[in-house]
Amino acid sequence: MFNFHFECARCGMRRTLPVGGDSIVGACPSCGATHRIEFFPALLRASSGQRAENLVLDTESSCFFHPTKRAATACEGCGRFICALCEIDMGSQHLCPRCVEQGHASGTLEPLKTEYTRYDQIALVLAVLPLLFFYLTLFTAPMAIYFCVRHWRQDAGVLPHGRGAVMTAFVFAVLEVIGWIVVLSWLIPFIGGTW
Amino acid sequence: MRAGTNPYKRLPGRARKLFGLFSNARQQLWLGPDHLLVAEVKAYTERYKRYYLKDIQALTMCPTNAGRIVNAVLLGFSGLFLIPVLLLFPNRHLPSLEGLALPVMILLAGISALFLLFLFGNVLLGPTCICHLHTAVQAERLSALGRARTAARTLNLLKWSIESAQGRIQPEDVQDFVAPRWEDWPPGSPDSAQEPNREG
Repeated sequence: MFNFHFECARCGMRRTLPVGGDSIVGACPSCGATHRIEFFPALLRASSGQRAENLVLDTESSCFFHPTKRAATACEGCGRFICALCEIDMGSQHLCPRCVEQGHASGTLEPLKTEYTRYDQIALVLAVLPLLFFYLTLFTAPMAIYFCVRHWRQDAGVLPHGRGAVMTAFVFAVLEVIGWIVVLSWLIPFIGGTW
Repeated sequence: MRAGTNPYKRLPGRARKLFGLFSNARQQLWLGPDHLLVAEVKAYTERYKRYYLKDIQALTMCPTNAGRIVNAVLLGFSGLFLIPVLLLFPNRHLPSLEGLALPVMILLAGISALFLLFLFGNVLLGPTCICHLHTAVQAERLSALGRARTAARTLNLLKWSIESAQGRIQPEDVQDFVAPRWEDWPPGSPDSAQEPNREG
């Protein structure tokens, strides 16, 4: 029996629906909200985990982490033989738990990247927003330049961002710094004369 | 990752939870070669969730009344500011209102027009809906798909991609069951569908 459990998006009532095809359109009996549901074959797959097979012959390769289990594949990161239990499917790669751990710690494993800070946006805000209160740019323009230079070579993250924001921020910040140099070089002799 | 080599394709959908009134967080949907990337963008950080196409069990879409409610609220506010203008207009030459009536009327009419503009925009965006993506362990709300037209377009794209990865449910896979009828469910009985009608 293939049942699909879900909550009505409007009234929150929990429903169970037997899967009879690849889609259904109907109204929730309690609130009348129309639902369109598309089903996919993953719903019909057994949700049991992998089971590692025991070694049968002495000549068979065994898992690096479980010496009594038969090796199912080789880790694409370190080359160690691993059993079905240790094999982690990372989309296009099959890795062992140790390589996954190391990849997560070093941030080199793309499918494990879950967060990204947009330093280019921070630099852009620091360069542009304080123009409303021009005197703030004396402090924020160097900060924007710092963020631009420090994170210029930073990995652009998982999504395509381009370098438009960081370049705009850099140009604005440099112009603001030049402006301040001009203003201060004009002001300093003037102030010095009054001392 | 360089922009030129990025494998992701942006899917339509820009809606925000509660029309973005209480939060600046927004969700973006990106389709990768073998997974759907749900990016939660908040201020200067992006958080990613990956849903592999082979693991997605179902997509649901449910139209809501939120758009109509917002339309009614916007129309109400617009009327609220327009009524004093209509009341003032015939009496604008009264000595007690002289010098004050015109600027006040312009201000009120302007605010009313602003609400009408939002109303027009909301009507153009179309009806609202709630979409969910279901896997074996969770149901993720796709808040980016808050408008029915965009949601239908995106869900069709997603359906095509998921079926490319998984195939379609074949009739022989579920031949023991007749197509489910929504009316078979007694309201408030979650397990009412445990014994579906069997063919033959």
